[in-house]
Amino acid sequence: MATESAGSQFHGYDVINRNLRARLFKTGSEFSFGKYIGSEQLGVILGQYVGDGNEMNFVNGNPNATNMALWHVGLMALAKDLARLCSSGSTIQAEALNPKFAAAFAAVCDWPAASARSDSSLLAFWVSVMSYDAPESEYTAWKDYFQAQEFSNAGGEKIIEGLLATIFLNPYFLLRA
Amino acid sequence: MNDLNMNRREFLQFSALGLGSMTLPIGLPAFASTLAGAPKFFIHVHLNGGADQTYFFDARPLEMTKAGLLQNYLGVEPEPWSGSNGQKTWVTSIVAPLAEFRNEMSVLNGVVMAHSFDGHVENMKYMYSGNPFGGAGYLPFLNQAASNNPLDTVVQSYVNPAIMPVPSGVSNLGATLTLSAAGARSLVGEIKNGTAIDTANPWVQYAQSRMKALGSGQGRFSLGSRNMLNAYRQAPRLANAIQKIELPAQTAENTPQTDQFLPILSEAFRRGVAQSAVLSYGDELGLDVHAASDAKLQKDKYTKAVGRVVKLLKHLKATPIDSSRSLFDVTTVLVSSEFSRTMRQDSLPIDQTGTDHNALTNSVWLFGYGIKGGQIIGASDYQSPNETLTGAHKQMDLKGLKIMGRPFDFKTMRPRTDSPESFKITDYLTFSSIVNTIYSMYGVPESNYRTLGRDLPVAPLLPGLLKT
Repeated sequence: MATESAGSQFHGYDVINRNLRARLFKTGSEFSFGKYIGSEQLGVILGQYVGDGNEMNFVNGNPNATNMALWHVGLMALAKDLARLCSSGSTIQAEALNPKFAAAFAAVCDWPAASARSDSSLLAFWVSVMSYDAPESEYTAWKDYFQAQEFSNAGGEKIIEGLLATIFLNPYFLLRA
Repeated sequence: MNDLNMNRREFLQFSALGLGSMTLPIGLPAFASTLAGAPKFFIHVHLNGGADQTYFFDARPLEMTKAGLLQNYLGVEPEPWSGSNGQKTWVTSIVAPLAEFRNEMSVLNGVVMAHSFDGHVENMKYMYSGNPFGGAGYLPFLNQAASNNPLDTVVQSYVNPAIMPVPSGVSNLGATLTLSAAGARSLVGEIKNGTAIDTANPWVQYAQSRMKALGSGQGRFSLGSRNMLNAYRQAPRLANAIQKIELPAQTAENTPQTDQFLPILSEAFRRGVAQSAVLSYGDELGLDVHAASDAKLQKDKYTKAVGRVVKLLKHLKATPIDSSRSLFDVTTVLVSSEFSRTMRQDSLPIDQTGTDHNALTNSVWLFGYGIKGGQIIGASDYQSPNETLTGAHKQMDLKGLKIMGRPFDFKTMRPRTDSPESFKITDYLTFSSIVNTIYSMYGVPESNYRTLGRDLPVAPLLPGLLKT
């Protein structure tokens, strides 16, 4: 069952937590991804530097069933919570969002309106979450998937959950280059 | 128990397809055939920090202390302990609680570790991987031979996550999880209560399709993407197994981490989450007693260490794995430190000295499944103040501060009586021989067996250690 250890490892909890906070929330936000995985202490399972001061090691960085299960649980929960901002029931305050992300988010909430499904809306959404960590081909594949007929009648909340979940679980988002 | 029964069926199918055609070590086919079909688990209890084996099963008479050679803060003469194989050793009262397991345990004394290195990390790397510079650890190999569990190994960390009992140089730990008891409890709760991994979910399907597409190349990132996909595909099985874990009631905050971890570990074994574990029993106790003030506390430290081992063994015995067997019946437990300690520190009074690292000897205790119990195997030197040390000893221990393993005859499984003039590792019982013997029990291919060093032969097996 051992995974091949020569492959890219996860960025780990601290980097992803920082990226999520910086990209999705205003500067100074108290956002913590730990809320979505039950406890910040579980961050070590998602990859983290640990040590005793003499030697620091990055542990649990290779993908395994446990850290993937926890990434899934946490990122899906965050995607759902954010998506609820389109309606109500989110634990997140809309005012706490990063203005760039908030604008992209609001545009897509109107799905399936043509403006929400447009290339420009999807590109703004992609860049606000993925930043420039993935090549254009990855964006194109993602855009084409969501612009397909299958989602032409879906609601905004459902689509935003999908848009976020599929970016969050993309190797370019989670793995070191 | 349904999930366990299913695992056993799966294992039987696996055995029929795979294990039966594996190359078995010469001299051990009967043993291997009796194990086929049985679930088996492995626990390495690591007394990390470097435990002085003269306080356990390789004690010395007080005359060594009176002669100013060996610190002994117990101040009590050791007792003789005879093995069923006719070998004898001296033991302290600290190991008395283990007497009830004496027919189910064997002790190996005089085990040489990474003999050219005195550091903790180098010797830990040697212990886990067979190489002081690191390499593939031995525990995942045990699982690859006979497991379909989503995790290879669960490593109990003392403080989450301040201290790593398994050093980073051990390379094949992709399916190994390091966490504290509290972390394990949180993880189980979170996966039980979180969003199920539904493979019919379109977002999951899309994410997996991208992992597959990005994993089709040859580079490091592609390999990482493939690993991600494989892990994601295994995750539902892990989540299902974790769903069945029944967490014990929360224990008091001051309960040792090691005790808190036990019920979680046994559930992980029973529910098919993992098949092996490393339990770190040294960090909480502070076994690295360089300072005399710490060395004077060794009685308390080692009494607690033995108490925790006893608690583990009793827990395994009290945990059923099916209607007729306990977890102890199907689990091999190995207890070891990364090395032993020097007899004293140079130029200090014998009643005011701490001790340093000694990789020239160590003791390993083996319990339970597959182990022929009651034996004392191997021995170390410096049994009395007047003993004439070998040239090999003097070569390796210039200041005469160390006990060293005696040369070992692998055919008779007894210490040799000759006195080598120079050190050759092939003359000694090493930790690698123990690992290779365990490999043979688990059907690990011989190509993975440890050697005694670069350009040296495979470490010889110890067939008499195993039940036949």
